[in-house]
Amino acid sequence: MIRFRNVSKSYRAGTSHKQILTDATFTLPWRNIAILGVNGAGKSTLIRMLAGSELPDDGDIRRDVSVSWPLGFDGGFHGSLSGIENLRFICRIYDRDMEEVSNFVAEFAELGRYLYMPIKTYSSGMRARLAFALSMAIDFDCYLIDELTAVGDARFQERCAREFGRKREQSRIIMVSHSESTVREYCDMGGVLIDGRLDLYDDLDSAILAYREVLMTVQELPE
Amino acid sequence: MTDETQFRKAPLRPFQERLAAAIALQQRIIVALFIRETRTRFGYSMLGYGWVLLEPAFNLIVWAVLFNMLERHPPLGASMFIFVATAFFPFKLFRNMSAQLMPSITANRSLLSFPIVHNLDVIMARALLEVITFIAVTGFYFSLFGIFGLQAVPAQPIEAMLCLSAIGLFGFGMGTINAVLACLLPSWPRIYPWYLRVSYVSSGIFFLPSHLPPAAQDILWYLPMTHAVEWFRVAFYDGYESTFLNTTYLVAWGALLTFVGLALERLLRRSISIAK
Repeated sequence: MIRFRNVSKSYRAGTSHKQILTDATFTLPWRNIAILGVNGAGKSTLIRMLAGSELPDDGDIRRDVSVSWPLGFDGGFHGSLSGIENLRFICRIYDRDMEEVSNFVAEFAELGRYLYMPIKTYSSGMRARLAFALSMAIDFDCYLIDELTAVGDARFQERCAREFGRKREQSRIIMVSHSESTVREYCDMGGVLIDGRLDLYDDLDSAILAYREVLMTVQELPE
Repeated sequence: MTDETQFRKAPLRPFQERLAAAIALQQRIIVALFIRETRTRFGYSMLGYGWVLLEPAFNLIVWAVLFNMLERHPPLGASMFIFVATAFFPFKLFRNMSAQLMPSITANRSLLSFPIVHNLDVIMARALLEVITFIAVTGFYFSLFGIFGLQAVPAQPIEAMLCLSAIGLFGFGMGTINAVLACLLPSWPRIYPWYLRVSYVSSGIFFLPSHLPPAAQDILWYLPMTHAVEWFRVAFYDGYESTFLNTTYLVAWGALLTFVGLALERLLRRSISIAK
């Protein structure tokens, strides 16, 4: 579970100042949770705070489970190092077996000889495949997903779905998605991010209902 | 459903175990960063390593030749080369340490994706790389001096080690402050080298502070690196005693800057750790 205590967070988008959380206290249980919210509510920032890659302005966040970096996120790679060197670095910091992880990633990402070349020579698709394979290779208690975007060809996606199905036995996910069907497929509860707080709902249907209401009020406002 | 919502809380282990685990984690991360920094600093080819080894030679030759034209005898010892080297290498330790730590945070924003890596881990990994590089390069040059029949080993080796440790600490403190300042002031990495230049010529590469007029001595006394070079020469040359040197002054600066640097990183962590 992940506990937020008196957390405040804001960011500046151009000239406007956006408050994401205001003195928010809540606990995310170890379940599959959908994070819902209108565009600009700060869902991605919340995911990064959950990952720990962005710190709150105030308050603290405590985790007693291991939390992944946002799935498929390739921002942690060093461009002048090869794929395999980046992989070894991640294995070293997370204390995972290099041999095992590199075998898995080589088979999963299908980068062939590119695995031994600098990341900066990769196409964005190759980077994403490597990042996805690496997130899958390292076991976390909780995976973070910021929009499950399709990566690779149909075969790769099939492999991802299969691997993800296996993961779900021992791990949970927290996901941001605009697709109701995706959310329904993966999540069993939800939270709506609005007005600087996260309203949690014990079942997904209530969360989606609440989110629809939010959408209605937003649409009624003149732009 | 209720099973799933149970807190997955591990029982709290004894303090020693937690401490051991924390140390093991930190060690692992610093080693991982050390390897990553070494690769990115020197690249794949031998050229990267070769340059690090060759660069001091150019500097030493230029200084020694220049100095030879101005004066026939070095103020200490018989070799102009050694006199320049006893200032050049100690200063190099400080310069490289304080400058190489500067981009620790700004150049490693991507590491924020791995929250178990902290700013301080990067700073320590870089410091480790600087220390090892310094030992290798300096060891190489002084061995070379020995082969050419010049003095290669300090008269007081332990004193020389103490002096280099104090310089390392001073460089580490300055470097940590630089790492934080580089996040706050984007122009800082261009300002800092000016301090290094002033500090370099005033640290005693071609003079002994005690040979200068008292007015000049009074000013130079306040620069920590002048004491650093003087300290190293006291340790290196047999029988050389200095009326100028105050070793405590350098150590105090090192401790103070390290404390301030670490405190700044801790206090400003939220504002400097922002992903781009």
